[in-house]
Amino acid sequence: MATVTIKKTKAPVARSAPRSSTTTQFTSEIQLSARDSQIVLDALQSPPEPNRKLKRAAARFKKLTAKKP
Amino acid sequence: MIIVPLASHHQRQAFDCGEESLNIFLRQFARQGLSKRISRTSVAVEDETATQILGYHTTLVTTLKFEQLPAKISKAGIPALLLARLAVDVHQQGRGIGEFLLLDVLRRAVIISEQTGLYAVVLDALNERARKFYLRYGFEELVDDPFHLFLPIETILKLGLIESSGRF
Repeated sequence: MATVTIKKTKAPVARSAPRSSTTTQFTSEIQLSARDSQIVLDALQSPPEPNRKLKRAAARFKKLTAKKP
Repeated sequence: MIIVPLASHHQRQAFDCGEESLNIFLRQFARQGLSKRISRTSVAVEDETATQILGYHTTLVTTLKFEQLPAKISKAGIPALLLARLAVDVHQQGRGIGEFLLLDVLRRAVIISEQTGLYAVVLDALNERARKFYLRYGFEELVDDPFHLFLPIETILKLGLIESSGRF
């Protein structure tokens, strides 16, 4: 993974939709800042284990959606 | 409870999650997104014949664009599944419907990732309460935009959501 020089920039901006909006105008891109780019790439390279709450939720979900015999 | 594609017999007008923008989206725009194939909205209902919407989620594919990274990564960006909307009717809250909808989105992400490239599920939390909901499930935060949260597909794959699913 290349080292990234962090440049202070104003907060990045693209959002999936303005938070209080009713629009259907979803953006097709989300532009990340340099710091956020590094956070995402690090996580993709070393994906974390699912936490306990997520594992439990997955177990409940699987039970609810399991095929009935 | 099951999750099915939003259809005309579902009572969109009766749905109230307490957040007007999410109500209006479901009433006025969700079916447009479906018909134009921009986004996909699915609803949680009690059973196949039910018309009452307990909750819904809307997803579409997006691209994460990087800044100041090697050109080959920056230019193309990476594909991600955007969880654009997720809401539960106020009268149905506390039943775990939000969690059920969220896990359904993660399961769909796994299915999509088996057909094409997909690196993560990403969302833009509507408010602090929503943000905390996703953080509890291990979604990762960004620093410059803390309302954008994501979960790598590799993390989701570890949940084994496909093997025992009754609908895949």
